[in-house]
Amino acid sequence: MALSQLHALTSPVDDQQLRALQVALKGMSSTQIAWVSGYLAGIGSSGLPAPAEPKAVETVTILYGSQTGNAKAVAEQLGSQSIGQGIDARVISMGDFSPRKLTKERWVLLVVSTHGEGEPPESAYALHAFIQDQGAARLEQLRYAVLGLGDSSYEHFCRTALDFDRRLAELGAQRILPLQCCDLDYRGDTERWSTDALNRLNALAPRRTGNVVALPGLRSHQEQSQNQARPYDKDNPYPATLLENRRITTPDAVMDVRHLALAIDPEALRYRPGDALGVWIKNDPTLAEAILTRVGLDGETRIHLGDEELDLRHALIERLELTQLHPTTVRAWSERADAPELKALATDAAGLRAYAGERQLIDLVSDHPAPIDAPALVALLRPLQPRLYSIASSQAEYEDEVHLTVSVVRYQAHGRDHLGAASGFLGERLGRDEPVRVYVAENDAFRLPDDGDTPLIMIGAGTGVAPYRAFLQQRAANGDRGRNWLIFGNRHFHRDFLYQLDWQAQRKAGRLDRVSLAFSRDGAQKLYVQQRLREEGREILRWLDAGAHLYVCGATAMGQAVDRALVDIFTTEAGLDPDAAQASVDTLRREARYHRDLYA
Amino acid sequence: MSAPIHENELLKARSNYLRGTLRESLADALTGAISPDDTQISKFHGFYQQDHRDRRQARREQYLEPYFGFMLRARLPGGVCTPAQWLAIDGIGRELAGGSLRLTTRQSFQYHGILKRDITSVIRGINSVMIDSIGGCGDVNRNVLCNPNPVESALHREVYDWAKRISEHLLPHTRAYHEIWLDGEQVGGGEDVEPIYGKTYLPRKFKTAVAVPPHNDVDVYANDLGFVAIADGGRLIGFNVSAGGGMGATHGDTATFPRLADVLGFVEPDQALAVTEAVVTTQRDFGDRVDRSQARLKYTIERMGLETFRAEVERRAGIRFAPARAVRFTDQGDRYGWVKGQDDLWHLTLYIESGRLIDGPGHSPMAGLREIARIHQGDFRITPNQNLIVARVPEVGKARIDALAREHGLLAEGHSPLRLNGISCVALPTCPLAMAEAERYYPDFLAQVERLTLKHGLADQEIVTRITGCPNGCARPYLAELALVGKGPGRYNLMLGGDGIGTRLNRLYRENLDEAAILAEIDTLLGRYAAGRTPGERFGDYLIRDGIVRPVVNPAEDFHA
Repeated sequence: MALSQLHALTSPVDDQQLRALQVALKGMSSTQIAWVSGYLAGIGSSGLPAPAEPKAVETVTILYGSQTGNAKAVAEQLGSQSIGQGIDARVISMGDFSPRKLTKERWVLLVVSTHGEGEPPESAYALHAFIQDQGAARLEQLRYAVLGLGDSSYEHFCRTALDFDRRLAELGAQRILPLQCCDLDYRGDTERWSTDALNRLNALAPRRTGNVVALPGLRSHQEQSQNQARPYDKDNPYPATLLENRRITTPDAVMDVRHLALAIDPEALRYRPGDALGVWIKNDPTLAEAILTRVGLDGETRIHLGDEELDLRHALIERLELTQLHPTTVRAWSERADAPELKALATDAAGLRAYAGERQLIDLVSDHPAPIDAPALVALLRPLQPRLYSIASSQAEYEDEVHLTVSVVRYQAHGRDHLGAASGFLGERLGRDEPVRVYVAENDAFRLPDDGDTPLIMIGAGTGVAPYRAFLQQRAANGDRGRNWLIFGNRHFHRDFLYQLDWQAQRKAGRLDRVSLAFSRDGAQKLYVQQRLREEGREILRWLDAGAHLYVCGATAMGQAVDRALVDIFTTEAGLDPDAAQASVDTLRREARYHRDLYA
Repeated sequence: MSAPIHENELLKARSNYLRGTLRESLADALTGAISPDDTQISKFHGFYQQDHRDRRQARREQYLEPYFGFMLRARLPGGVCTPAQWLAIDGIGRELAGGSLRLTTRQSFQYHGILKRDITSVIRGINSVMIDSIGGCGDVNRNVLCNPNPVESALHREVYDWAKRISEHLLPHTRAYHEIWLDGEQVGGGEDVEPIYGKTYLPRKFKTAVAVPPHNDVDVYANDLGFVAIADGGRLIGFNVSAGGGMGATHGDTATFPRLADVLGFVEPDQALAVTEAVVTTQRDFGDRVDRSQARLKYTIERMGLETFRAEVERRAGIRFAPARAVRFTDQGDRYGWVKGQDDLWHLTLYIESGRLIDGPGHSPMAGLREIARIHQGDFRITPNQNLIVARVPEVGKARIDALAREHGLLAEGHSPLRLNGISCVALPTCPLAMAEAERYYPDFLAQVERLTLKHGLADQEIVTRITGCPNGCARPYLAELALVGKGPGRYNLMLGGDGIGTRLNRLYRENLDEAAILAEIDTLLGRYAAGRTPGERFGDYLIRDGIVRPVVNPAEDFHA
């Protein structure tokens, strides 16, 4: 039963209690609510905790800056772990944390990811900017530790975590644990660091004894699953089935973009507009076979991955990353292959990254053959990671479906055809009879405003338009009356105007008040969304003055261009000097009215 | 209680002299279409909204709207244009209309597949060489046909001048066209007036043609208003005026039929404009504004009666028709190849299959015409049979033009008489009215019929053959000796019995046939014709004489009988 359906007449709580409960739960994620239900169950069986004794207590603030939900999940796990150990902890998104409050905090653990070219996640922007400021307040009272999540194939690996860690120290805060940078396979590192961090806190901080509650269901996953149905998440993905896979660009379009509909059980999987779907993909078996042939290994060879023993072929297809070549893999390979070109790269970090960025494993092992045995090959490769796709549907409209907009990456390079691992899996290989393992990756930085009257400016290029389809479906279902403005860009009006009929239907229904389009290859001059934005600068300001929320979804480069355009609009149209214009954009971000969902 | 007035009439009335909401439609970036109301108004500006029908289904599945494109038809009285104009026309076709253009059965050119964002550029482009598209379509007078007779040079110039004056006299006066497409600004001061048309224009399209006997290439009797030039000693002395011709019909609706114009009588040249205006205003006031399928002048005359109509025209024009002069027509096709005019200049009629100009591997008619236009000093004349005349070439210029025409495959040589006397409409995939293929099927179909003529020893026989994808009659099928009128995909009505000079309607011979059945019928009939014809007897005439086809005498009564 949903909370909204609770009623004093039909439940044992009175109206006042009910309202208090509603206020308390408002804005909580499904994970948080699951946690609270466990908490309440614990109270129910052991009696109410004694009220906190003021002053005698110190609270640890666990701040997370999360884009794809990983940092958030780690932070929440850390939160329940600390409470389990009797440490009073509150878990809060950096986006919901007022930066100036940092001067009041005494114990802070930060969990933050890094994106694109070393950028903080959207929700961390304001806090990141606050501490980077030249005149930032001293933080001598603060003790902290930072956990970073990132992808070591990028140049600025864990840059944001590094920034926080270094800058907090510069501001006088005391580091209680060295910075931990975690790569894509972060699980082991985060668990180790969490344990270390809590041990340090236990050693350093006064314990809170008054209101610690044993939390059934939150001790560990193993125990949890014995007691109740475990929610579907990254480690426990839901088996969805393919309902529909249709190309939504014309055959002469450069990009092969698919609209995918997956069937889900709405009881098992809930998502909100703005969320992404995490997809555990399988690599292309023919690619795995080609690699096996190239390195001269038998797919039947038994190998070990962690505690598990399995076929090499199976590992290559389902467990190991084959398409996103990591620089360390190249470096390790250079030690095996008799290839001066590679050996030269081994000491050239930038060259190594560039080489890896342009190639897949198959290119490396084909162009520079080298002998290798199965365990060594496995050791070279990183674990396969789930891929995230912005969800293109609203559950209010498609309760038992989730829609994705997938651009099939297909290109010719180094004398070979290449297919994107994830897009190839979803767009080409996934059949209707084989389930695909998925989970909801919450994205609280990309939410519809609570107030349905708030105007929306939705900027998206290419498949970045996907979440706006979900937004408009949700607004339709809500009966929201806020105005909606879509700013969309792609190559050709006639070839890749993604979901054109959807937008037309929404406009006809009175839900799309303004549309601005930029098709880069239709005219003599290339035209992009940021140019449209500048052209519409005056109108953008009018909408923002009316309280509009602004959303940007698509490639990182586009997001940066749009960001610059926004600053320009504040200079040219509002007559602000560059600093004030930047401050206006920062204010939008701080007020959580400027949301971005960008990807490489 | 009478039936309600047709929606289009209300639309015209509230369009503010053909402005509609075209500006808003052009500015709407979400769709490549214009608003449904504007699709009616746009016709008066010379363009139709169409979509690529072959792609409709696939695009719907791609969540994309249909591939909208616009067909724009120019106003080009008598089909005459200069080489400079041709180069502009050609350039626009290459850049903004899918690399193609089409010569029409109304001596104009039309572009297909213009994107909405390019319409303004196209109209400005043709305007830059003094061509407009006003009334290219819509319920007004359409492009005025005029026999492009290059031989009787002086007479042609005189007659052509009249065709142009009629066209200009019947131009809408609204400033909407210039406002929307050219100036971009609303001209202040005073409301528009339409002295001839009024606010709601005509009930239906209106077609005018001027013929110069003995050639009836314009199919003068297929027009709402026809002028047959009467000359005396090479000088124009007047016209036989005819009214009430029209091709369009609707499958299954016996109240609709093609009709040949009635001859009203003879007038002198300086009475031509008054008569023109009188016929148009009579149709304006008496035409049916409730049922568009009954709105052409031919039905108005059927309802009024010819004598009442004639009297009304005489009253309005302030003239009396003299008895019509005797005229004799000998053909409705083109005279291909070089002919020399009275002014000692040469004229080359080129063969353009279906009027379609597009370059591709192994064929380069557009490039060829472009090269000719670059060196040509005379003019071009588009014929009512979708061909092109390179007119007024001095003796010294002949060789180069001939060589270019030959190089680019533009000469008639080597084509059968059958092929040289055929026309087809555009139909699929662009025309929204098409029920069956026409232009795309035409070459194959003619090849099949050619095979049969060869079989029966008729390879040298001219047979006027026409194909349309629907019964509306753009290729004037009801005046052909042999015609296919589209009924459904791959299905046609077989029409037979025209006289090859455009003065007798044909008749439905077999309905809804597929290709095999059509060819079987033609095979049989050609066999009988080859065996039973008299010397010089045409195919259509033979079918009538032998009683195979009953002639249509009064189409209102006997076309469907």
